[in-house]
Amino acid sequence: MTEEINWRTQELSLDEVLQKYPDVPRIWALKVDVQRRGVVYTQAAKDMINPAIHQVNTGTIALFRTTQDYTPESLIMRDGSYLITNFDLNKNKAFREPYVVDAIDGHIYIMDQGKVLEEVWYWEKPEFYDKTASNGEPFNKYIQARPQRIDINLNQYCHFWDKPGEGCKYCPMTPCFKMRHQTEEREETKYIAEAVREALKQEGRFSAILVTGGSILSGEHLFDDELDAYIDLLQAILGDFQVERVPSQLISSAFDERQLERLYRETKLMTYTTDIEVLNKEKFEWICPGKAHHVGYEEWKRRLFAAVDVFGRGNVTSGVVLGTELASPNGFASEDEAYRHVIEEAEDIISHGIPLAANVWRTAPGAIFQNQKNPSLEYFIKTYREFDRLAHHYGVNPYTDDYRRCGAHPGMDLLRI
Amino acid sequence: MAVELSQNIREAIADSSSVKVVATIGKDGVPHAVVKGSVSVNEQGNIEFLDILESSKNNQNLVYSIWYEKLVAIQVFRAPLESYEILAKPVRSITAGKEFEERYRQLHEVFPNVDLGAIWQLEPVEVRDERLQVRVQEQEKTYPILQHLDRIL
Repeated sequence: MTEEINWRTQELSLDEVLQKYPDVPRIWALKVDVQRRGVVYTQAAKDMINPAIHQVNTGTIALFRTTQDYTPESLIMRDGSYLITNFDLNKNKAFREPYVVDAIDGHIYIMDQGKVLEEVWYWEKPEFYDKTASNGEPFNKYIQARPQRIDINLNQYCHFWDKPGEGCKYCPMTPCFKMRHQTEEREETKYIAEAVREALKQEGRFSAILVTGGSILSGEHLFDDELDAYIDLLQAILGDFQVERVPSQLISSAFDERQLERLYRETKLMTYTTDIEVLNKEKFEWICPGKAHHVGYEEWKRRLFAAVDVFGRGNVTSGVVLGTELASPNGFASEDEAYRHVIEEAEDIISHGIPLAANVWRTAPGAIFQNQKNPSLEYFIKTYREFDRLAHHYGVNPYTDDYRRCGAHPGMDLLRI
Repeated sequence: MAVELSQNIREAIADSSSVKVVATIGKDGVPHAVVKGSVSVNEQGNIEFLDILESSKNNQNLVYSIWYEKLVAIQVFRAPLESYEILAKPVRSITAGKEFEERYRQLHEVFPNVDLGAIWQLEPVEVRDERLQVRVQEQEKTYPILQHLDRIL
């Protein structure tokens, strides 16, 4: 693995960031940094995997990975939050050393430079992972699981990639689809619904359902076919619940008012998310050219705001791939400049009752940005800290994207207190 | 530094007629106390209880405590006069997995209409015997100046 030799002297360390921002919890800052730098597992840590109990990367499909190794899908921390680590590391251009997950005396720890930092636990796999659908295919071909959430990726190809140069530059999903030589974009709804029914037999396991997938541009109007596919699926998986709205989340393209009304009226979906991805119009147009070309930054935002009128305050969120705004060559020139722009834009969105679920940008193999360097830990901590202040100020809390239903947006954890 | 709970305290905790109160503080510094019937001592000697409501002030304060290494007070009272205060450090919140699911099912056998937010585990770091006669003797010995004169005339 090639790292920059002196990278530790070029940016503030975890301890130094904590000294500078003493109000943030250490366990949380570590979580952010683990997402930023990634992890590798020692053989002793891999030996702690019990394939009968634990969820491993080889045991499921990998929409965002070019490789699948026999490692735990992800980790649980002692504060009950989930630490998502099921992403590829760019081993040819890592820039920084990843953290190490090791086992000592039967316990598993996150370590750095030989120092024990935190005890962690491996995710346990749900019972449906060992069962098959009526067609004999494994259920986890159709749906996947986080510790408390059912994940459904309906369309595994994103049509913003149809035209060369229009795919989002940080995203490895469609490049991975092509690398797998996959041809079918979507699994049949009836088997997905069968898998969900089986998953829900496990008492206490699931508290939310996430439905997402790549964008589908076709239809009478832009995204109409995508909307039809989601309505068909949501009716199939949520229809049996005896409540008006089921704890569930759809992350989709930015639907217009007519489409949003249909989505709300024709399904029992509780929350809606459409990802703005990059908190700056100019950087968005460079990083997400397909979204910019077909919808545009201001219109994406407008549709996001319109969704609050349909789904209600607190039931609409937007995802951000935090850090991409600093990618080269067209990103902001400095972290200070990026911070100022991002916070200004974040306040505009959060003030409309829409919390931001921000991922730590990782330079995923397969993505156009695969050889980029993501920002410093200080940048992420400082920005998440301000997002949290704004979310508290405007009274918004995105439970669907939080520490236990999702786990991929560490900034959300701060809303726990 | 962890302390071991005595047999007397373990029995008082295990007694279903005893009252167990968990007191926490949060980011705002405001104290919060709640009766917790599920308080028990686990195999590791740690205090354990269920937090039914994920959105509760108690859960919020326990997260604050585990993040910032704040202590939690657990008061155990068993009639007629047995009373202990255990100061404890939250060490783990279990929100998923087989252990969580087992407690979820057990909880439903008693309360079919409630959910389970988390199982909290706390390491005892200090125990105070709060029985009145013990506290009176302690005060008379340590602070002989703190008493009314008519009592010693």
